[in-house]
Amino acid sequence: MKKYKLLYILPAALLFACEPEFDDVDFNGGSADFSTTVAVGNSLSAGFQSNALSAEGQENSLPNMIAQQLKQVGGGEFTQPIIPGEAGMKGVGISSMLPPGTVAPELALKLVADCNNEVGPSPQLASNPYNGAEFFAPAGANGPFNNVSVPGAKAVHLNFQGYGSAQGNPYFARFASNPLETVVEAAMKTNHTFFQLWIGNNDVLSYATGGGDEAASADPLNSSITPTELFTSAYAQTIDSLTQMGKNIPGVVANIPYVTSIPYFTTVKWNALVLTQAQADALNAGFASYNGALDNPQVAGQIGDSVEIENRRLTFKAGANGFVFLDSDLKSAATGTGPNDTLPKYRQLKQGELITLTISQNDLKCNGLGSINATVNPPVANPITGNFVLEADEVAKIKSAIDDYNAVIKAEADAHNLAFVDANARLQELASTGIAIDGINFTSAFVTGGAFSLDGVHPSTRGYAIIANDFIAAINAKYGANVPSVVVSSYPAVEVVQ
Amino acid sequence: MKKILLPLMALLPMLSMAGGFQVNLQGNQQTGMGHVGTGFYLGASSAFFNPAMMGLFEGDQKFNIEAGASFISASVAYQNQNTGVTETTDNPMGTPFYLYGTYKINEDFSAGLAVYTPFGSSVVWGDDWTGKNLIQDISLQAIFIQPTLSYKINDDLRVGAGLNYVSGTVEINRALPAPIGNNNSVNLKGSTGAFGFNTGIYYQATEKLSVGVTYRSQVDVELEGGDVDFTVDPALASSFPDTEFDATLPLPATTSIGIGYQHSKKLLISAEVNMVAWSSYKSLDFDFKDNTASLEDSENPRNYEDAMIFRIGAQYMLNENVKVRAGFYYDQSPITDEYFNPETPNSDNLGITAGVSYEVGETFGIDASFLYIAGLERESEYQPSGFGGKYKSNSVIPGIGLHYNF
Repeated sequence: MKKYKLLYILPAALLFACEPEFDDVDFNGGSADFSTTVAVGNSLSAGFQSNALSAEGQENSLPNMIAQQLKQVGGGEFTQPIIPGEAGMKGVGISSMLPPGTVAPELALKLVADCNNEVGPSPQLASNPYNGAEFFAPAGANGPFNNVSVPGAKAVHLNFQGYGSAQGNPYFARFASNPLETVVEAAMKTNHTFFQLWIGNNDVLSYATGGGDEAASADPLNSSITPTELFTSAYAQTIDSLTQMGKNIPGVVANIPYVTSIPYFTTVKWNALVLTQAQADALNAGFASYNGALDNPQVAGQIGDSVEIENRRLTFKAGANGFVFLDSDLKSAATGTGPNDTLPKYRQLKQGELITLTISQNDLKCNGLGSINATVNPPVANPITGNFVLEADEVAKIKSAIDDYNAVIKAEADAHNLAFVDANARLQELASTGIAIDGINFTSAFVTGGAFSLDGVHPSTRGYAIIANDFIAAINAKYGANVPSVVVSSYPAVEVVQ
Repeated sequence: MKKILLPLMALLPMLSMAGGFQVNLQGNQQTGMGHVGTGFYLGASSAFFNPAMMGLFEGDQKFNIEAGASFISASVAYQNQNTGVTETTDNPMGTPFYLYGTYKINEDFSAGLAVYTPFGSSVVWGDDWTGKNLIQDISLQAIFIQPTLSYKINDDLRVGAGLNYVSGTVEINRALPAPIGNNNSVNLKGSTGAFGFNTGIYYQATEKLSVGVTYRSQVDVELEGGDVDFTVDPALASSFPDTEFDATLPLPATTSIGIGYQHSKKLLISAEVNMVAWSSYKSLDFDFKDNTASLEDSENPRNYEDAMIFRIGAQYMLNENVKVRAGFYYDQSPITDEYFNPETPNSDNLGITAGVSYEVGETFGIDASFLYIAGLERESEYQPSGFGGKYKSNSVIPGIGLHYNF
């Protein structure tokens, strides 16, 4: 029997000797010096998520994710202007609707009943707006910071004196070392050896999120599209500073994604008015007098444009239909039925037109928004208004501006031999085919796609991690480095809170 | 003692030891010499290795019995080349077993019954490893019960065939990458019975040289009404109701050709080729009884390719009581680099074997074997899920059995 005991012991010994092992992967920093990294950008680089900037969001900010990986190949400490206390816990969302000093917390996913009493997860304010004193307390003395990204910043703001003042941007005002310091000056104080720059999104986004021209006319200073010439000079000036002109400081830059890639504009479809035949018949009857007026030669004569007349005709069928939209660009026409009666400026939305995520879901579901509200007597037309819609011409303006900006960004990256991230292509991939990572199929679908936070504009933590790996891949390719990627699936997904 | 042990062992999972989830450990004598056994006779285990050989026992006894088991300690390592994350499986010990009995009815006919476990897998990566959305752990086993007949056509040529009843069990745990919540998972569990067959031809070409050819059929394990048990965030409960699934797992056909060469009374050498028709394993699809917007039927391409195993082995009789054996084999992985799922983390394998048999008396002997398998390093991805890296494995497998003639 002794022999057989030995037969067991020998293999056991072999087993421990022979666990499969790999050599460690050779990670290195290549030709770039990552000892001091500075990140310049907007909300996307500050760590903004779910409509607010929180301490947790800052810890999971895109530049910090990258900096933690750079640390593994010789990168240095990366400090951020972390928001302290309750404000840091709850997150800080600035809204002109709130009294001065009051801030809104971040959005959280809560189970709420809709107008049909169906309970489902929905983004809601995590708590009531609160006093943001801890946020507004000056933090400039703790600088310089390696992340000087400012939510809301446009390319044209980075070199703007006064942006750090009380009249400027509150996110920057809290950590600027003095009110006249520019964002770029704050960056230069770090004596960086490497920089990350992702800027330009807000140069179109504040126009887009507010419904385009409607936002621009309400607040021309903040919500107009930055003209390409202004963007070009602001971007070039920023790059010149960050590369320190002739010194060729290395860095990584990213371009601007199309707004059609983000759930803020893709969640509610232009033709989500889904009808039965009976419902279609009722709407056709309800708008019969409007359509009839278009056939009135007097009215048609005032419009004087047969294309617009056909464009304004409202027709409904069983299945998907374009929502009824109040288009202020349409021509005025008196109906002749009364001294002040004019034809409403209705038409239906067309393919390619976008509705913002801020539109009321309950009004769409229960109050006939986008068609006829039958909950009142008599029923009334209830068109969607322009501040919730990007019309075809506005979509085209936005795309044209982004294409211009992206050409500038690519040219500057090439001219200064910088690593370049095609964030636009990546987000289009997310929106079209989705991206499979570690068994998770990320898409741009709102909440369920996993890549965007609850505001539908900013990525989720996992979404930032996906982009961080694109930055790392670009750095590796440009500087002959092998910086380790982050593990996307190790970051948490959104949870429902009570 | 064996009688009590064997039913217990049947409850334990096995680990894939050959291409895919095939387990080639059907006789300790054969395992000791590279698991060759199609082309020459080594006892009652012929009911598995080549049913045509069942009547070849040369002693006076009518009954031949063999029983045994192997004890698999296997470990697979994974390394992501982008993140540097390295992880290793923590598999339970696998215990495939066999039990063979043959009876020589007359000069021409023999009958046999074989119980063996040629397919199985038990891989435990852990609940929280980076590939958890593909697989956390899997346990798969198939027990074949095979009544068998052989017939001697003439002194040199024999044929045999057996019918397989297969009892198959599968259990899979994986994390669920659901949109909300961080602790979502699904458990899939099912068992079923299926049928197949095992046939062989044996030809004594010369006094020293024998040739065997076998064909073991594909067995489709068709799981119907398996249990699907979701553990999800309460907000998702209505999207992921506990339900049932249907799925089909093919256990592929194997064609083998082997030769035995009795060089002298003491030395036997053998070579063998197995062709495993893994290309039948195209996809592992779960058809759920209750579908929701979030829970659609799950299609998981596998796209395996046919694979070959090349074996050589030798047996040397030291004295009347002791035989020693050694062997080697090369076992191709059927898995392509694009569809390499850590659920079946199988590389090309090199197997090195040794064995010994000790005859306690005229009719009773003990067979021991030892097998070391090196799973060669490969860099592969499961593209549909975007999960890949380097994989490497090895296994240490001692085995013990007995043979008895009466």
